[in-house]
Amino acid sequence: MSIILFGPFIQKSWQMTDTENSSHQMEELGGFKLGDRFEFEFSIDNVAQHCFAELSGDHNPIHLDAEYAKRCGYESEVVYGGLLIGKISQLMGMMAPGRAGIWTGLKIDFHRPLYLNQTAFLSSEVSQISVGTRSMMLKIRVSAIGKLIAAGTAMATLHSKQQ
Amino acid sequence: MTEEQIFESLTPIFRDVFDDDFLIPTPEMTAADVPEWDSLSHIRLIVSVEQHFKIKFTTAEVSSFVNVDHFVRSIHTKVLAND
Repeated sequence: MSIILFGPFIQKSWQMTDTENSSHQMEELGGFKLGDRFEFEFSIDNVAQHCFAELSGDHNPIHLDAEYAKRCGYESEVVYGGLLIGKISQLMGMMAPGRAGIWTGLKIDFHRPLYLNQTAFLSSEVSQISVGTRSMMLKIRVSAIGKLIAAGTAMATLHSKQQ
Repeated sequence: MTEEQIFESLTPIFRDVFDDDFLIPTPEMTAADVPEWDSLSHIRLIVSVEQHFKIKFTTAEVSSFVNVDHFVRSIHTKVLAND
């Protein structure tokens, strides 16, 4: 069916599968259900860090110069926040929702620095399912040596037509 | 919860979703009145409202709202049903 947002005021429609008969209690969408967890380990090396510097244009030495980072009070080069978001992109694009949908929102706070070559753990959990909009929210958490590095929420909307 | 209280609760949600610190939802308001109100922000609005009020909309309901007043009445009905 075609969704018209608030009457005839927006011309652009949004194609969705009709879930007229979906139960209000239904907490499952496209094979995903509340509480589903997705996680993996990763680390960021010097090559990735320098590639990101070139791609982003962010050459702040806090990310590229160990001595400078130490003078600023850090243990070594601080991994770019953008690279952490890149790993969240990996999660969203390859695991949840993967090919079934598209990433439509992210709210994230950085709590501590992640350092170059430090092993980190990215975990996520489906925290909300909206059948009416074919969307789901995931709680995202990045940690290293048991300490919180970053945390937030991401939203994904499933395609109306599956490939 | 009254419809007035729902309107009050919707104000911060609308401001967050549509990134407008001064937006005040009114009963007659439609998507045409808010420049940032497109398909994706509509989804974010519905998901935020579902989360805040602990309610669920069907796809048919999501597509049926005529204006904010209609939206609020639908929220009110669902909130009362949950009580």
